[in-house]
Amino acid sequence: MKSIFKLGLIALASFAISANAAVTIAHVENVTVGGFLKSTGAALSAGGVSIGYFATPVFDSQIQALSASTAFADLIALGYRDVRNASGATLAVGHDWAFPTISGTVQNIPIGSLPQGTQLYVIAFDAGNYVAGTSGSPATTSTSFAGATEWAVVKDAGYTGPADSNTRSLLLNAASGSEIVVGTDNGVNVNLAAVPEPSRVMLTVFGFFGVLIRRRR
Amino acid sequence: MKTCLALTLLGTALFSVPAAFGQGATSGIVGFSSLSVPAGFAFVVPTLVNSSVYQGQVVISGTTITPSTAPGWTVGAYNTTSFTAPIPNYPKFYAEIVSGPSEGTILDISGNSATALTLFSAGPSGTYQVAIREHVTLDKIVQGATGLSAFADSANVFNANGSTSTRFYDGAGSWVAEDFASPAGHTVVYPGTGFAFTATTPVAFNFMGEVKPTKTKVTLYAATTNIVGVLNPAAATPFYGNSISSALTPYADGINTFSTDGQLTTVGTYFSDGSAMLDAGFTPLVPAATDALPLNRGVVVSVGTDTVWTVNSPLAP
Repeated sequence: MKSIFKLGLIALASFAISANAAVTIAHVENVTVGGFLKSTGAALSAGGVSIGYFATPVFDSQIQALSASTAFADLIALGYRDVRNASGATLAVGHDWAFPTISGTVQNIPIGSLPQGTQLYVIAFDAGNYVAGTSGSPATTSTSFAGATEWAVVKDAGYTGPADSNTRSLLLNAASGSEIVVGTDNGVNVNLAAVPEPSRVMLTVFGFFGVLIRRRR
Repeated sequence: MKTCLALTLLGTALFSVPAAFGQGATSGIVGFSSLSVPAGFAFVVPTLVNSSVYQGQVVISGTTITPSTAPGWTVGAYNTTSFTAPIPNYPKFYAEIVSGPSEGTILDISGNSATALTLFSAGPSGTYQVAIREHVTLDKIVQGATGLSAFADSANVFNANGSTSTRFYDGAGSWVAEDFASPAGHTVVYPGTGFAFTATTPVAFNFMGEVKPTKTKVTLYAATTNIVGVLNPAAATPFYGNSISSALTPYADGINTFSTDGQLTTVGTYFSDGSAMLDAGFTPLVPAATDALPLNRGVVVSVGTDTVWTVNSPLAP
């Protein structure tokens, strides 16, 4: 009888302590904490940053196989979710994750969407904007960053979903080496990776070999 | 938030008699401060402490504190609680350095003889002025509270190691632990810290105690949820110019403030550039900014490495 009473109390308490759990994610770029630069090392004047996570684990090689021009849509197809798309997430006043000025905070991201310890990625593109789409529907953001020719992906070990009610500020100067999945380490900064465009000479060579192969057949 | 007349008077007192409390007084401004929370969730950070039971010059050496003049203590008066397992035990009293560079350092007392205190862990060696105060506990916090629901209202205390202790109000002025049986009303709420409270119906807290006249060193842990606040029982405290800016790693550590509607929606996020406080857009706050650490509710501070925030007394801001 006593244990039934106790179980009842636990059930009641379980209901009572189901807190409104949410977290905050922030990102700022400046000379102190670093920022993204073009592949040439020049400052970015267009494009923006996405911060998110994968609903299912992915290998770095899967990300590295993508091309900047279609990368965001491909990332979405791989299960990527920008934290801004989480149901209930709110952009704090002053939020700006579009180049040239990157500084902003996303609040009230449900911890159910971003559990503590989830690996976060900071991804930058050199063109286009983030398309907000429909909250809670990542597919509706897939046209983001249209026209990008360069991009970078960073996943520092410290970029993880924080505990309930907490904040995680993701800074680029924390990342180095293999934590830069796409792009190159440039001191506190990260240079975007350019997708190599085939040069006129290379196109001529490819064409020449193509003709040779056809003739042999 | 309800500010009663007594608190208004207390607030007036805070600004009218500041000097007396930095000079070794053992009793200071005593009053109460109220907090009304709706059904739902709230963070609670009490702003008053228990009056000191001793103050004087001591020598700290390792885990021993020896007063310069014989204190005439009753043996065991400051001992820790001594419940039998599984009931958790906590220190009942703490010694606090009240002047000099180490002002605000809190040292838990594990026991005492007639002439010396024994600490849980070593303090900074040297000669200091210290005060001994009884810890504020969950039992102390619910004294004078109304609206509490037995075995439904709960407090989550986030421990330094990342674990959480859940306490349930027992309907009789105290609390029980997670097993709904072990007494836990003696769970300590350290100065400048608080807990996450769940209310099934609206609750009104009436905190009673002394306005802390000296600084308080609040450790912010990387491994846990730091629910912390200032010890000003009279009003919210502006972020602008607050000493917490120097405790945070620039641009990395963050502070969240929350709604008071029972939903705990994040309504503000703040950072530091190493000297100034920044808003959620990483823009420095201006002197006129109304952004503040809320009265009796506190904020959640996220840090990447353990650090110490030296909280100023409202009597010597």
